[in-house]
Amino acid sequence: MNLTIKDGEFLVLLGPSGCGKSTALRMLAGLEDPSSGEIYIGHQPVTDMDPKERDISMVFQSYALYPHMSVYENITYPLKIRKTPKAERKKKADEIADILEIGDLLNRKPRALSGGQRQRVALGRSLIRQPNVFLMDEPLSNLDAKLRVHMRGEIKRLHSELGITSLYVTHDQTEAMTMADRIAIMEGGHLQQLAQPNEIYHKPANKYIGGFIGSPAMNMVSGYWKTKEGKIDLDAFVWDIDREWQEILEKQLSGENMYLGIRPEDVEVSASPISEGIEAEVYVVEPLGKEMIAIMKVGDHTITAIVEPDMPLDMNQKVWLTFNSNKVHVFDGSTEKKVV
Amino acid sequence: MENAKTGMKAKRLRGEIIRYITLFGICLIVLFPIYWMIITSFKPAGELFASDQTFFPQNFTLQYYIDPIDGVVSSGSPFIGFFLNSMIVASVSMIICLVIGSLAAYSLARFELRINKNDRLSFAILTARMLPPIVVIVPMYLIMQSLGLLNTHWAMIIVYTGFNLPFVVWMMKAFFQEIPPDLEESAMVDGDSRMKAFYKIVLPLAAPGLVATSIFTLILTWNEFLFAMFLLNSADMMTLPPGIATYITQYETNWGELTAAATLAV
Amino acid sequence: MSTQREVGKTDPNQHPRMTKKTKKSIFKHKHMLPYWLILPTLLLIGLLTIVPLGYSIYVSFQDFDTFGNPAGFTGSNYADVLTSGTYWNSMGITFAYTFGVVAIEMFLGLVLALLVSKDSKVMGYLRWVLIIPMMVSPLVVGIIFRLMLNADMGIANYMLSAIGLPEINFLGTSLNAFLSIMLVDIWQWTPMCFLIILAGLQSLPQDPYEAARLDGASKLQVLRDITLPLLKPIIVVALVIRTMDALRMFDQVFVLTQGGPGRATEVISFLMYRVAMRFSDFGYAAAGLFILLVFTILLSYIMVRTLNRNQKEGGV
Repeated sequence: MNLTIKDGEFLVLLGPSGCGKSTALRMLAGLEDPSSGEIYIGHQPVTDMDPKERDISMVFQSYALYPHMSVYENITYPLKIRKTPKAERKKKADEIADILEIGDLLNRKPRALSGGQRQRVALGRSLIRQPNVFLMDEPLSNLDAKLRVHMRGEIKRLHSELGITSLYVTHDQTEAMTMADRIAIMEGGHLQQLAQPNEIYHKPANKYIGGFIGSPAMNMVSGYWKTKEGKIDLDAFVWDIDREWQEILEKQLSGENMYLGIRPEDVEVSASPISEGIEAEVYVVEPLGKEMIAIMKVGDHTITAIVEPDMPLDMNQKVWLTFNSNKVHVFDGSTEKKVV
Repeated sequence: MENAKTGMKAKRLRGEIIRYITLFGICLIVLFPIYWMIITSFKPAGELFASDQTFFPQNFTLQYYIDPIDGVVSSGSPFIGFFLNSMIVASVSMIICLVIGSLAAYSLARFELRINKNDRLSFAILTARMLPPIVVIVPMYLIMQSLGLLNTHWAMIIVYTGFNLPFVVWMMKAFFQEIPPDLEESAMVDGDSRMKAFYKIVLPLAAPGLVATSIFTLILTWNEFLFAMFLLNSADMMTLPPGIATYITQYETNWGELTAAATLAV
Repeated sequence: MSTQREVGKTDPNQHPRMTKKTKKSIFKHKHMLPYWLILPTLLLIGLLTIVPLGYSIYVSFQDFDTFGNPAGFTGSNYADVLTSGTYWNSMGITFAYTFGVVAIEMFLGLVLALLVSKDSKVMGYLRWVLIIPMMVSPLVVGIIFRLMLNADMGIANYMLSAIGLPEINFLGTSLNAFLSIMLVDIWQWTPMCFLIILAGLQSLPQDPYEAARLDGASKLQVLRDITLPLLKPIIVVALVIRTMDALRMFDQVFVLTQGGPGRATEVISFLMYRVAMRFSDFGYAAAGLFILLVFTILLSYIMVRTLNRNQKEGGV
């Protein structure tokens, strides 16, 4: 895996649990040793360095606050280790406490704090000495949903104020999309794609990323590319495509197997017959208030679509689907790489 | 229906009463011998041998507690010496055990050692504890003899350290495993070395475990009799158990002094 | 962008020149730290258990003169021990004693644990009271009972005659002395069985109990069919620990009977103490103790095996 983080950037390492993203972070911190390869901070190789020599700071998933120390002692501990004078420690702690709004908690012990407060203290401890690199290992996953959204914004603001190069590990795609300058998606120990959030969403590099990013997930339909007929055969239906597409597919596909990916918001559902539409049957509808998710059956395939909340759909009702061909993603059947 | 319910209740209540009476009786059996020892130590000689035994001294006396202390000044009664010897041996071996054992426990709790696959090494250490000490008493005697350590505190400290070390390693390992590793890792990222993180973060958090372990090792050492009997033979070196035993082997047992010494030893 | 600092992880292929550059010395290398931490412990345990154990085998083949000086190699120690009536007498006493006290202590310990297993404040205090005996030095326990069981002035006989029963010479006859020693052991060590079984009892899952109660099992049935089978592993632990301790019991005999009357309470460890300390026959003692060790290991091995096998057969 080769990954370079730019100075001052907020890079999010995104992936399912067990994909190796935390391991990558811990290697950067010096808590684990890579079996091979080199790690650099700036232009300095740090592979054989102890964590303390690397000038990094880290927020742990569990926060790792020292239970026997007060909030003030926790926050100033990194300075104490570096033998910073007491007066300066106090000054810095007050500054950080101001930024994080934890000024009135300084004398408490961690166990007397709420989850959100602990999280702020952990942030404060990592930020107090302006590290070279700032690492966060799923820092929000132990908070409740509302607080998570709030802290998401707070961390993003802090980053833009302080401008410290940051690496943030998470399995939550919303966090990744909202906070990141760039996202690195990992799966099975390999880096799958490194790009800006919008690019990842609109141009997923492969089938895995297409299915991983976005909620509800992208519809993924397997099919065959019929060269002679210039058509895509999706078992349940056949899709005619235009010249331009035909040429691209002809050039890029490694075989005739392929996957068609369509985001639910790009599926148009019509209750009345449309000539080029695909006939489908409503399986279930899930109203969400501002929109509604409709899940439909086309032969053996299941297609999910986002429709207007007031659209009158009943179970087993016949509907007709159309896609905007500009927004359809095609993935190669064997390499699973994105083709169009 | 109502009757059946109250009947059940009465039956359960009766069961509870029987349970508590039984437990009360057992507590009496458990506590009486200790009570009797303490009482005896306060009885004047006349009452000890009286044909009418009393459950509380009629004439309370502190003679057996004061005599030995006087004795130290006048005739060299050794009780306080025994006590000090026990203190020295128990505390020194406890400190050595805790220092060396905690380091090993930390190593076993946190690192994957190549020599500790499937916890094999941990179990080997535990097995050392299962070995009946009496089996090694003869070689221990001969080894101490050849090292010139017979009848010294060092012999006892070494022996007790060896016996308690496996126990300390296992207890401390359990305590360390309960402390999340995130804490040390965080300290290391903040700028501590591994050992400094251990010393400043892990040890303070394991303090209750350290206290519990040291109390256990102290009790074990304090009470040990067999090895002390074998390896110490002069009164000025003896720890409490063999020291107290010297009170008995005399033809005429001084029960007052003996029970006073035993009370203090507990 | 010339000031750009880069943080990155790279392939070995990309920077082959950078790999394995600074190997620190073995003393400073961070991967060695755990081994340095554990080394002193391993050395001490090795020196204090394995070395003496090996040495004891060596000693057991040595002849010693009457002054306790080694006088050459001999195989006769083992022959002497194995053909000695005194040794087998002690062995018999030791084993009879061990089986007796361990069986009774396990039973009482189980009953006690069941009695106080309910969680309440009173029970919490009671548990503390019940484990007091095992905290007291065995030597002191011996002294207390020697005082209480004294034939002429002991409180035990005083109480017996107070309720009209004949007095007993507790330490005077062979059988009485043996039973008295057992009594002392039971008083002191039942708490240990109690403590271990209680810990096991409290860590048992609750579901099977609730299921059994719904199935309509009586309290005794629950005990027999649920509690005991689930407790088996912990009972084995208590059994092995107590057996190994009882086999080497020394203190009580030393204080209460000095092996008497006659040799009625001369357990192995006391016999060996006499042989080694009074007669300086270290070779004989080492041989005798080594045989005891073999018996101890065999016995605990058999216990663990049988009970585990029963569990496998009965449990599935």
